[in-house]
Amino acid sequence: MSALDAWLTAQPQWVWHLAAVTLLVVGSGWVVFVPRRVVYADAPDARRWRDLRLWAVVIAVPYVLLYWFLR
Amino acid sequence: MAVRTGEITRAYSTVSAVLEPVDLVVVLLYLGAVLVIGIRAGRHVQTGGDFFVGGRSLPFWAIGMSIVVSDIGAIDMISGAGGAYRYGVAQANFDWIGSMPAMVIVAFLFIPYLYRSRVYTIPEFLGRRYGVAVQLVQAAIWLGFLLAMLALMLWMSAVFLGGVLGWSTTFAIWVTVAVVGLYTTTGGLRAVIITDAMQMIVMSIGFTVLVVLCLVEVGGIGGLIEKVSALGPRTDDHFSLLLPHDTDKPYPWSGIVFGLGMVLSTAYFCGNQAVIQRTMAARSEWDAKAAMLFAALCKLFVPVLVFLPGLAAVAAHPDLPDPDQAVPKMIVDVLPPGLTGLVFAAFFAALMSSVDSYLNSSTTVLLTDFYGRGRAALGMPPASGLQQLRLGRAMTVVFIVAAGFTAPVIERFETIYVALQTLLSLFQGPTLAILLLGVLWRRATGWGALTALVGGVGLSGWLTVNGEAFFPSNDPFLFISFWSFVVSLVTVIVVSLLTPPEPLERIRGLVVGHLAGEEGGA
Repeated sequence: MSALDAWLTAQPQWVWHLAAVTLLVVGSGWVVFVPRRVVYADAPDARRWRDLRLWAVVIAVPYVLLYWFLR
Repeated sequence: MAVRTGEITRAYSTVSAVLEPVDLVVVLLYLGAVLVIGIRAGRHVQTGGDFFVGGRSLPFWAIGMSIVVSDIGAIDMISGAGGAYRYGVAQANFDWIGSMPAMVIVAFLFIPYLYRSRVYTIPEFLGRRYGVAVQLVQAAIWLGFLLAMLALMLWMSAVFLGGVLGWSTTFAIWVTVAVVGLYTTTGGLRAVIITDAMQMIVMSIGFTVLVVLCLVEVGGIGGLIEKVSALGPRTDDHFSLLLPHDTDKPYPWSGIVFGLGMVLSTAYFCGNQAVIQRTMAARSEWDAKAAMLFAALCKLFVPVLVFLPGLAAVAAHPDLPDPDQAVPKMIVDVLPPGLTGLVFAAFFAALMSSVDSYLNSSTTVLLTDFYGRGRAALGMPPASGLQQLRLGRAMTVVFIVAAGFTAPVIERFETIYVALQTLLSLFQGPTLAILLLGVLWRRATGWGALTALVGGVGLSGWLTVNGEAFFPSNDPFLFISFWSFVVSLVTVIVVSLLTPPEPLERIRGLVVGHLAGEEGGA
């Protein structure tokens, strides 16, 4: 077993879940930095519910909860 | 996942033995409804654009549902539930962490470039960005994969339909060819997406009923956990999403997070022709992005509907010799006549959505990346909208009829599904690397991409053969995809810096800072 394998094997369970949650948070959270003009590009209007950044963050919440609590 | 086509068909036949006449009526009604809706959806198809990308007229919710239903597939319904029976909730990773972050990345990072460049295929985008060699390599890979999967899904649909209705497999093949061929040839991608949305609704209803009745059978969620946990060490981690790095199961946490979550899923959703082609059918760029996010929301419920019956089977039938029998067993146990037909219709919906997806996408790749490129190479002008439509319809007929003749041969190759999935996984890491740098890094060159594609695939192949010496898992495809991505990424960077940059005029609209309509922005 390589040193990397040994290190990964030694990590406690909370680290696995923290890694998964970090991926979910970073993977969906970065969209808050996407410019408004890109988010609303081609949209019929600029109503709040059409803000896709909001969609991404809201959709991520149940996934984060699942990966934090389902151990 | 070691999925054998024979196991899947045996699983279907377990249930077909208990069907009542009312179930057969439900299945036939469903078949007729798909045909009518599919043909009606395609009434206004007049050009190649209408045929290949639905005239760019579809709303986000229909495309989102279509993406999900095409992605699930009937094989996943059986083998996914079988996986839940074997490994527990860890099986859900493929629909959760293996979908959600990737779909967000595709929605906000890739779709603006793909949609505004008005391409029909991913190889076409890569061809514009990197040149013809990368386009042809990618197109050849995808066309081969799509055609093989088309024949395989057609065969499975026929076995399923034949088993349910008592038809011979050959007759069932040609009925499926006629139904799917008719609405796909008439309505192109628009018909595919509308029928997919309908299929998604049928699947959701059918499997919701199954899940509720399964839970009633095993005493609710509490009863399920209690009964499964009581089985001892073999089910110790059946309710753990993430498993240790040195687990003997194929889903260690490290592979799930780094291999599946970061690489395989992103490569799948940004590089999969059947997925991306659907987003190109959106009526606006906003709808294309929203479709991907809506699909990410729907994905949350897929494991609950598809895998929970597999877990319920652990409680009800803990000693099944073949885990792929988990769902069929539960169907036989809990569903009354009529509802069995509805769940069967849901299985058939999944099969048909796979057949129509592969059919439409293979035609699009052939005509866009080979025929279109060939015309350009010969100095001919691009085909007109009407010519594209006629060719699209003609090739759809050719492909579905050819698949009809090829499908019976599939029966001789039990492991063909595994082989096809393994083959595709070899390309996922390198494809993601060249797509990602193609959009994010203006300096990435055609030589860099081609070298990374060839080298990355070579490395994946070598690791697939020799992987057990390097990785703790017996089935190290998650680790292989991660390392082939990393090596391909480095290769693109190194070779690109050693070769002349692509002229800005050629890559305008395809890279960050030069998005069409946002020159200098983004």
